[in-house]
Parts: sequence; structure tokens; C-alpha cells
Amino acid sequence: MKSMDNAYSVEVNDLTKKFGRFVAVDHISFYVQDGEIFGFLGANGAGKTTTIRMLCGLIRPTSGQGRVEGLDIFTQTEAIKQDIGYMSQKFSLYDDLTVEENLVFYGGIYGMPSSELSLACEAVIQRMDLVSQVKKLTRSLPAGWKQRLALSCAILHQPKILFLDEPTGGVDPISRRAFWDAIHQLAEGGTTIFVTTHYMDEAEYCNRLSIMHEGRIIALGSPMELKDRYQQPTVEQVFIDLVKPAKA
Amino acid sequence: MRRVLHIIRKEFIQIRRDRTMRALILLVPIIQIWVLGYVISSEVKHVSTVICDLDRTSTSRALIERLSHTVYLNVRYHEERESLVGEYLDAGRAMIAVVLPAGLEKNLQTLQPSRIQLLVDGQDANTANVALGHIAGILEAYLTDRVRSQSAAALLSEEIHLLTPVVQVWYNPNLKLSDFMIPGIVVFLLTMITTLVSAMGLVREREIGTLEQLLVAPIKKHELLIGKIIPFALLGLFEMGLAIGFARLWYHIPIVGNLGLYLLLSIIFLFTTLGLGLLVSAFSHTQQQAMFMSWFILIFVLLMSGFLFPIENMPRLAQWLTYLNPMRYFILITRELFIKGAGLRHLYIQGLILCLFGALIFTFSVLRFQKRLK
Repeated sequence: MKSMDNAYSVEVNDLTKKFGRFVAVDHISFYVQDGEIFGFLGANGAGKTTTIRMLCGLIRPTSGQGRVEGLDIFTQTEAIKQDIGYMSQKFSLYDDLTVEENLVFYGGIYGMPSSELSLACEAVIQRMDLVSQVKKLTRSLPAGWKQRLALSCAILHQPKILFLDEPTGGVDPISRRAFWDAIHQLAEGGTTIFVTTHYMDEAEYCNRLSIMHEGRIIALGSPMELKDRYQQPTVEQVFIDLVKPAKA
Repeated sequence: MRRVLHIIRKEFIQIRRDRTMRALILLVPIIQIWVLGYVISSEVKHVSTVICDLDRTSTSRALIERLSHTVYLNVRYHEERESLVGEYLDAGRAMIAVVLPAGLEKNLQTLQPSRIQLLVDGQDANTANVALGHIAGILEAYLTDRVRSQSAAALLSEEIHLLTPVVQVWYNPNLKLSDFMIPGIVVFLLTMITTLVSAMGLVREREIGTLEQLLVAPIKKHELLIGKIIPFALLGLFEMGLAIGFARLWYHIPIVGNLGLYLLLSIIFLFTTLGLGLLVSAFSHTQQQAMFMSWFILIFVLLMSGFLFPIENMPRLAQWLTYLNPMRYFILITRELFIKGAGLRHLYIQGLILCLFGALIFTFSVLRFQKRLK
């Protein structure tokens, strides 16, 4: 059992979530180091979103322990919320607000004072290359731009850790590549990234990966380690290899 | 506080952007007051009537003349055979049948009683009762006039002349139903709009997924809920102002009381309807569910408030239940203040009860609302 060390951004022990009789997350344990890109890989329904929601304080775990930025996920959920950024699979934006209004609103509910808020908006707009879109209604943006805006809203308050739940669903390959470039930049800046995906090529971008299947973590390690361990050329092959016998 | 302001601002931007919503906000109160003002305040008039005159004398003709010259009745048919009178009611062509018996004039001259038969279609009990009252009044007035023009001896034999009521109608001297009903429609409008927008507001965010994003932010539940309902409260008050203004201009309803006091009491009342909406949204996952649940509750709130049906006429148990209905108190406040000019001295009990209801409903919905997902 690992010690509760502050060098870990996330630390989870025997975490379990049951919905009635259904066990969505089944005694998982892992840690995420400060500043790393940690990938959560798994098929739909493997328990990735449930895990992320437990870490963000959106769902109360059934049992186990967990800490995010040193704060308890059972008792300190409100404190955790100040430290995290979260981007859900749906890109939770207001369609009838402009790009700028969405940014100001999401910054605003984090309690940023207006001077700081306008500076932060300006910085994010530059960084994410949103200048040309600022006055447009979010409704009119293509999916790739919406995704970029959702990411911008999630990082405006400079969270220590960013949770991304299948952030690239329904987005074209070029936008996906640009998105991952932005993620790498954030990680270099010291933000911890916790990302779930079922795109295998994205898995290769992560520092470390955990492969989840039916609520359990069935493999954990860097993409290189996993490929070596299971003697496969790609993460995709590792994944298929692991999940197939598990299903049989 | 800063967070609350950001939510309020966002709500207003959204309302402003929504063209349909903008049109509805302006048109709904005016159209509802305009149309419903006529519909709900419709007094009993022009009741379709059939008359069967078996007497055929100057007396019976004079009576028919009088019955024909009142706005309350519309004497559309004259039937000669008494046996066929019922057919008019069966066919729905007439609501009331008046049968003037043979020997009516002779009986009157000899001061003998006559029985004038009235057949009434009692399906709409209220209209039937009111129309019957009018007919009784007309017959009595005829009798009075006739006896007065006869001998003094006959006059003495008529009790009704010895006891003449002197009637003074207070507050609504012309007994205009519209003065009574239209302020009720304003309350109905305010209750409906604020409950529905508040019920939809949060559920809509739940549906489009933005609620999840708000829940991972470090915003307190009460900040979120207050930020959501303040715009709805302002919207409700704006709608109410529009409705009252229109009712005043178009229907000339009286506003005797103090409008400042009314505003204060309205704000207190809004806590109950907005709180109810929040409570509904805490229990609903989709806007459809919220809509169904809201209407299920609203029907009781509206019909058990005394707005359409007088509470005194309800069975005892239903009367007790109305004490749980915030709209009951606000309907009373509205009518007393508009028509009688009642002040805080008369209305403070209702005001305090509304405060209590508002605090209870609102606290309960804040407690019920979870900053977690299911």
C-alpha cells in the first residue's frame, strides 16, 4: 500500500462504486504523479466516467479511499473543486452564449475578480487561438472549436489538475491533433492531466496508462512498458489482447 | 455574491437571445388578460328561454313582455302546447321553460295564488341559479308595480311592501364580476409563469449537461439556486406589472390599495412559487417530467385557491386543504387590496403566512438539491 504522499496529484485505494447491484467501479487502486499525463483507457461502460466523476466530487463513492491534490474525495469535495478543471464528454457549453460570454461565465463562477478574469480570458483566447471566434455564438461553431472552447473554460482558473472525459469525441483528426498539442503544453506548464479515451492513438500520447475493463484496472504502466510486457507493437493490440480473453 | 451576479447575467443574456421567449414575455400577459377577462368574467346573460302562455290575457302578455326585455334572458321560443315544452330542454335549445298557467289574470284580480312553472336545465347549476333569481325578481317586480297601481286595500294585503329592503353594495357597487375576477387572473398568470420557468430552468441545464459543469465548480448550492431564481422573480414581477397595467387600461379595474405594499407582498409570494418550481426541478430529470409534475401541482394550486370556485362552497376537507395553498392567501390579498384598498393592517396575517410558506418551500428545495449526480 502506497503512502499518502503530496507528490501525487491523485491517489486512489480500493475505490468502488455500486449502483444498486451493478458494480461500476470495482476496487481500483492507482496514483497519478504531479504534472504527468495519465490516460484511462477502456471500452464504453468500463467505468471510466464513473471514476472521473468520483474524483471530481460529482458522485459519492461506495467504498475505498481517494485523494485529489491531497484532499479527501469523501469529505473535502468542495475544496477539491477549486483545484480542478473538468471537461465532460458533452462539452458543457451554453449554445446561446458567445465564446467570450461562455469564458466569462465559467471564470465568474470560480469567483475570479473581474480584473483577473478579463486578463485570464485574454490569455486563454490567445493561447487557444480563439481570437477570430470570440464574438460568435457557440451554437454556430464546428465541433473542433467547441472542444477548444470547452478546454479553455476548464483551464481559465488555472487548475492544478485537469480531468478530461473523452474530450475528443466527434472531432476531426486535425482538431484532435491540435487538441493534444494544447494538452502537452499544459502538462509542460505543470498541470496534471487525467484523461479518459477509447482512441488508441491518443493512448500513445500519455505518460502512463491504465486499461480498465468491467470496472477493474487490468493493466497499468507507460505505453512502452505495456507494449513490452504484452509483446505487442501498439497499445491498440495490447488492449485487444487483454480485453478479448477477459470477455471469453 | 460575485458568482451569483455571473449567473444572473447569464440568465438575462439567454432570455435576451431567445426571440420566441422575448415575444412570449410581452404577449402572454396581455393576451391572457385580454381574452380571459371576457371569458372568466362572463356574467349570466342571454339565457335561452322558451315560454308557454296558457293564459293569453293582458297580464300574461305583460309578463312575457317583461321577461323578454331583460338582458339576462333570451326568449327565443313560444310554445303553445304545455306537453311539448320539455322537448326544448331535451334538445338543448332552451335552458329555461316558463309556463304561465291558465287563470293567471283571474287569480291575480281575486288575490288568489297562481303557480308559474319553471323548468330548468340544471347541468350548469350556477347559471341556472342566477337565471332563476332574475326571473323571480322580474315576477316580483311586476307584482309590486301592479298592486301599487291598484287599490290601497290590496296594497295592505301584500306583505312585501311593508318590508322593503334598502340595499347598499359596498366595494363593488355595480357588482361587476370583472373587477373581482381580473385581479385573480393576474395572480393566476404570476403563479403559472414563475412556477414553470423555475421548474424548467434547472432541468434544462441538467438536460444539456451544463449543470454537471456547474456542479464541479466551487459554487455553493444556495448561490447557484439564488442566481437562477432572481432573474425569474424579476421576470415574474415584470409580467405582473404588464398584466396589471393592461387590465387597468382595458378593463378599468379599480386599484384602491397601495401598489408598493402589493409589490412587497408579491415578492414574498414569489418565494413560494419559485421554490415550488425548484423543488419540481430537483425531482425531475427531463423538462417533460418537470412540465407534467408542475401542471399536476398547479391544477390544485389554481383551482383550490378561490380564484374560480369560492372556497366557502367546497366540502369541509377541501376547505382545510386550501389553507396549505399559498395562492389562496395571495388571491385574497390581491382582491382585498385592489377592490377594498386593504392595507397592511388587514393583510399582515396573510403576509406572515406567505413568509412562512416561502421560507419552508425554499429551504426544503435547497436541501433537496444535491451538488452531486445520481
